[in-house]
Amino acid sequence: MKRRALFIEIVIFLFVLLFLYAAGSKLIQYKEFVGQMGKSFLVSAYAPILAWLVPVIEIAISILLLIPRFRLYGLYGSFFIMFLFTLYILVILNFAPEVPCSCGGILSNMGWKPHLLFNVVFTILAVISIFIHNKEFVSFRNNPSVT
Amino acid sequence: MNRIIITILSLAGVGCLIMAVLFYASAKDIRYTQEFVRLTPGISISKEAESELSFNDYYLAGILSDKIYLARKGQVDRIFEYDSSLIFLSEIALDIDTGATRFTKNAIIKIDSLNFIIQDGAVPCIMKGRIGYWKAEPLKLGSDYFDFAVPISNNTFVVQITAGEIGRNSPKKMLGIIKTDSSILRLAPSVLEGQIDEYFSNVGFLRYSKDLKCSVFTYAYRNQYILLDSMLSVIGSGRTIDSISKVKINPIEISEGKYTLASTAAIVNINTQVWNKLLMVHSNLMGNLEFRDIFDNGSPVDLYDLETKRYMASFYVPHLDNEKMQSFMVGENNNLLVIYGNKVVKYRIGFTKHYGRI
Repeated sequence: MKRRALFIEIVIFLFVLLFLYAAGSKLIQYKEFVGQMGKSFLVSAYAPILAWLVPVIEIAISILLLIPRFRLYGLYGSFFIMFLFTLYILVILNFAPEVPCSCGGILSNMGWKPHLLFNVVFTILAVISIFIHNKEFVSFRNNPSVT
Repeated sequence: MNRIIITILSLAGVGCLIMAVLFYASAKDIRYTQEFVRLTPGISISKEAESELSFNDYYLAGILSDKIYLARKGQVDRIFEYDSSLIFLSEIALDIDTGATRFTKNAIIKIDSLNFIIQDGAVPCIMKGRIGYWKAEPLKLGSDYFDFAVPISNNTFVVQITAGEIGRNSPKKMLGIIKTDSSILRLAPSVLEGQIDEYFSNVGFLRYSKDLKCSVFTYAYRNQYILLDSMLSVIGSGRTIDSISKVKINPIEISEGKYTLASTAAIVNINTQVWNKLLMVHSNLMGNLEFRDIFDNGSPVDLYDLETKRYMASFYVPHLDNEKMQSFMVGENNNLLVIYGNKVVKYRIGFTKHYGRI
């Protein structure tokens, strides 16, 4: 059981690292981020709002992940937002006349195809963690001594 | 277990819904939603020759009656000579007295009947030499940087410059004249008329018509071109066939003195060339009654008569192996040369009996 718990810890650590890094770099370069989002045909109309809403959501999910009681909600949140990002990339890759990038910091050097893979991997990690978390939680309920 | 699957699936469903709403509410590409009619029966083009290039950074330096010259971006000391059927003849090394000059990647070579001209507005520097001798001598210039320079006579260039001190005032693009015998730059700040700013809305293309002895400036983000005499007085203006008379751009300052456009690409005119008394405009917009698959597989070029300012006809330059036309140039005998990635193609332009009948 320890290995599973360790897996969740690592996934959560990775998510918090990813979200805080991405949110931080977006907020620091707020104006540039608005400019980049404005070039995306999907979200250009909402760029000024999304430019702070997205990092705020990322930070909120990180906080949920860090508080053990809300960890499951954090994992659901991580899954949801990674799923959205993945869909976003899919739509952009298939329908955009030109492909702008508005990811934070070094992530913007990744290119769209590797980025898509990166997001899919993180989405799957979130799903696996939710299932493992549930198992841990259930076994904890059935047999408290396991922890 | 089931509850988790249901929660995950419903979250995924909400995600899909959000994306679908965003997608349907998204600003539709302005390229496809224009109200104008393009007339293509007047002109036909036929492919005559094609040549493979070893790199994808070639551009057309010039076309003479029996020769075609290409050059590579950032390389100022080499020029590639082809015959009129695009057979490679030779690589010519230019004799340049660079001295202290450090050319940047903006440097370009242009060939024009008897002379070749190397210019780099970021140095700034203009060099000139005779075709055949291939030795370039620097011309006398002031210390003003320029975006591009177009020769209008032996010692006169029309230039576009970007003025404005970072942090003090927003940058402004304007035209001016450099006389290389006196190295004086005379600016004409009011010739270009900005709409929401003086920078992005003044982006455009400057060409010179030898036949009409005037310069033609075409705005990139709106449907207007202006004709200028050798003193940079406006002697005429015309409109391209689309209806975008007000720029659809939204510039924002991302850091001090650094601007970008915060909206989807709203370019109207991608590139222009002057051919005798005609202005050729590579347009970014699709008209009414046009087929989307033709538009998506070719580049429309519209022709305007610079004397009457009338729209004459249009034609499509088809993509080649999914590559778009990057740049084009017209020479004698109705020859149209087009660069696609690492290919150069020669077309011949033919006029049909429908040409100019509107």
